[in-house]
Amino acid sequence: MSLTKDDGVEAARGRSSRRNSLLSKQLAVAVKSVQWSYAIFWSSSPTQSGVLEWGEGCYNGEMKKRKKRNEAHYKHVLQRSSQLRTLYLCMREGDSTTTISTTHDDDDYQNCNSRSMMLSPDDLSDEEWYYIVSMSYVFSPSQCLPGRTLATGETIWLCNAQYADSKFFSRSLLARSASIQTVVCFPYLGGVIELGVTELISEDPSLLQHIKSCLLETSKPDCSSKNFFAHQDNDDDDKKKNHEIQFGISDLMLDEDLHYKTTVSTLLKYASDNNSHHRQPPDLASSNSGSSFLRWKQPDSNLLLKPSNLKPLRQNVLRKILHDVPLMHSVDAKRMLPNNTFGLNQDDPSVKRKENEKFSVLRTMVPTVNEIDKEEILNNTIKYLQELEERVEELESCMGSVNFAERKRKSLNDSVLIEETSGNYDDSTNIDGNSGETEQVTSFRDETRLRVKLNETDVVMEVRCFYRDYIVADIMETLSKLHMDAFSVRSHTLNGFLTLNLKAKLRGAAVASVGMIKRELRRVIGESI
Amino acid sequence: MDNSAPDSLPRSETAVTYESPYPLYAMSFSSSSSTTHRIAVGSFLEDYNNRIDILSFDPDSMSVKPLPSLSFDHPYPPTKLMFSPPSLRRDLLASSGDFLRLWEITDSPSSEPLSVLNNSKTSEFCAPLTSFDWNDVEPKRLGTCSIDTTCTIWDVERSVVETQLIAHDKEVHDIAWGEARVFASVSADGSVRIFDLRDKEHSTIIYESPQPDTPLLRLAWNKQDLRYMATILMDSNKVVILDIRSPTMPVAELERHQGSVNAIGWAPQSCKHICSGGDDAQALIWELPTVAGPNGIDPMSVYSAGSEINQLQWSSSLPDWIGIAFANKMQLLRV
Repeated sequence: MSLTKDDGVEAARGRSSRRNSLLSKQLAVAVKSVQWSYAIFWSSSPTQSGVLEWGEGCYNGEMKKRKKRNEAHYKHVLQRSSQLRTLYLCMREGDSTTTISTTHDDDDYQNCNSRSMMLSPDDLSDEEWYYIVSMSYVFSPSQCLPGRTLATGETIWLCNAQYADSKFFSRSLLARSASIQTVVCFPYLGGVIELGVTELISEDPSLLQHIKSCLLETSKPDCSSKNFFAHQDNDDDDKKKNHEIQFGISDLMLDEDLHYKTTVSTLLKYASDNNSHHRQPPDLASSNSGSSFLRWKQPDSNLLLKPSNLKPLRQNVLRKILHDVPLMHSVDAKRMLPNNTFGLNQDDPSVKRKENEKFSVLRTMVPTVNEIDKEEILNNTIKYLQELEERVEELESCMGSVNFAERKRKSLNDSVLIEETSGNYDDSTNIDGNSGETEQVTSFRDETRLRVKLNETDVVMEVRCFYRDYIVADIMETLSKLHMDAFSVRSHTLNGFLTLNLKAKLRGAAVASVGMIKRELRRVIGESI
Repeated sequence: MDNSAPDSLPRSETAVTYESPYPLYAMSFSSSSSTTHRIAVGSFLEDYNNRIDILSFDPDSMSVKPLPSLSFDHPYPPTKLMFSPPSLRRDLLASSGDFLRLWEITDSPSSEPLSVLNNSKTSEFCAPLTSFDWNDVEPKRLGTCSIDTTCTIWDVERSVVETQLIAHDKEVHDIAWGEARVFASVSADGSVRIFDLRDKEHSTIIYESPQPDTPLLRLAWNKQDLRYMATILMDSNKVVILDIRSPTMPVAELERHQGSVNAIGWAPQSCKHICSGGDDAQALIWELPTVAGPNGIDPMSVYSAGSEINQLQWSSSLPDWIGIAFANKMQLLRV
């Protein structure tokens, strides 16, 4: 078969695919024979003269699963290379805006759609990644290694490729991550063949000759190849640099960076399986005129965030919205019956009732309601609050004329008890928290006492005094004068001594203070207290 | 409209400011189906009388004006406001507080805010709502979350409860819809759970806060890429990005705020961008890379507001604008 220069690789599909497969086989043979990592054929683009783009390639390097490069049979090499190519094409197909023209066969396309042996980017080694990203590169005349090779028609042997200047070798950064240390380019068939390896191999013309012979082509007269060492600052380099400056090297640099970045981001966008909702990503760079945002800059290290330097973490408004505002509503919740069922726990009734009792005890005592707590916490809270209240009452009574001795309940067995209880009384009105169980008490002399406790909207009162006629009615009248409505009353009279437990609701906004309530009650009860 | 520009706002000529007589918290943009762009803002006054104001925004002239005839009262501060999604034909505004209320905002400026649909469980006491979310795909479905640890799914067309689930062990702070039947919620128990209405018995915990029981305060589900969610913790300057395919391990923790984060919002048009606002008075736009650098992810751009940013909304009806609320002001920032 004659491989003439005129038959660009963009010729009729059938021929080109045959040729491509032949070329790839040749590349495979060549690269395997010298045991290098990869071979790429950069072909001339038919549309733009002098522009080089991906033609064919063969990957013979490390894979994640297979470490040794040399074990693979030549057929595996070809298969792997085509897998990588397919993967690249699929990645690119995910982004329909790119316009790099390629010679992708129909076969590849079908494979792409059927996703038969699909690789995912996670499966790739660094070298393979380098290989795939290389597929995206396009070189204008005299740009980078392949461009320059084509322009000058000479072989270029680049050692320490990973340290090369981006102007020479735009993929040097990639090469560094892939550990590609040597890259060789030579012109071939109107394009450029590039080979690379992860070892540092110094220039070897015989190797080159060998490769060329593998490609089954009568080699061109062997031009003197230039051996570039990246760190060398010699005249040739300067000449090359000068030469390159003509092309506006700074733009080239940016372009290459940009190219790399856009390629990588394009490919990685595929990797994130973003096939749907593909809109043009907005230009969120704040260098846009009219944007309110400024570009982010790394703050000074002085201001850099250390845990101790953080402003006091408050989240004030957010916390209030989540915690306090709902509780503003729940103030109204106290109107509800104590045995209200909230939550959907439909467990056995005794548990529910016990829970509800404890909940209502808490609610009468504690301003903020947190209904969802464990039982032990509730018990502890109740006890703690009782202790606090007793202390407060004692302190208050130091100024008053009320005796506070150890309070004991009279035993029910001792004497006749006249006990009246209102309908919705519950045991929680006992200020000391006894939940209705009788205690063994010894008889003691009658003590007079007056306790008032003011909650958010409730008042809990306990009166112990000598009984007189209509004393309870007078107390209730006093309460209503103080804008309170009693809703729970329990009284018992024993031996002329009255014990009265009351719960009343504040009627309106006018809230009587504890002192005022006590004063009024004392007045009603008389000087017995 | 007040274009006040303190010195700390370098590019305030592109920000549109509305100054309100009272502090603002809740905010919502009207959906794209309405002809004029409307913004509802809810006041944050710690007593019974609060107000919801409707503003109209004109991006071309960059002006925002209140529509006083459309303002109405709300008992206690609304914990969240949200306009109905475009898939619902009518233009409704929902507010959450003690109950879920639906308001009808009509176009003619002279009308009163119509039909207050008071949705509450009639037999039982309805625990106050901390947040809610309107399902975009299935617009008659609205999910609310409450301090009684439950999430309730409403059918707003028929005004009935579709279902109620006990979502967490403690108060639920936020809820977000993913698909038509899938929602996620965050709670004071520190977990993010995903629920599927087809299987109400089970939920998936996809993240738990590293310090046990650190409440998670807000949740945002990326509508462009349903695999990703963002959440913020109490007292934390981090925005935690989660991938629902890999539970418990966050994909990224964005830690560049100098104060705790108060609000987050995903970009409506791009799956990789998210904006966050915090107590450091900064709004940061982040672009999430596929591979994070060693020092963490840096934000793309920053905006410094006058004071702590309490609310942030990035609406799909106005993808070029981000609304933030701080102190008494509501600002619209051009992206």
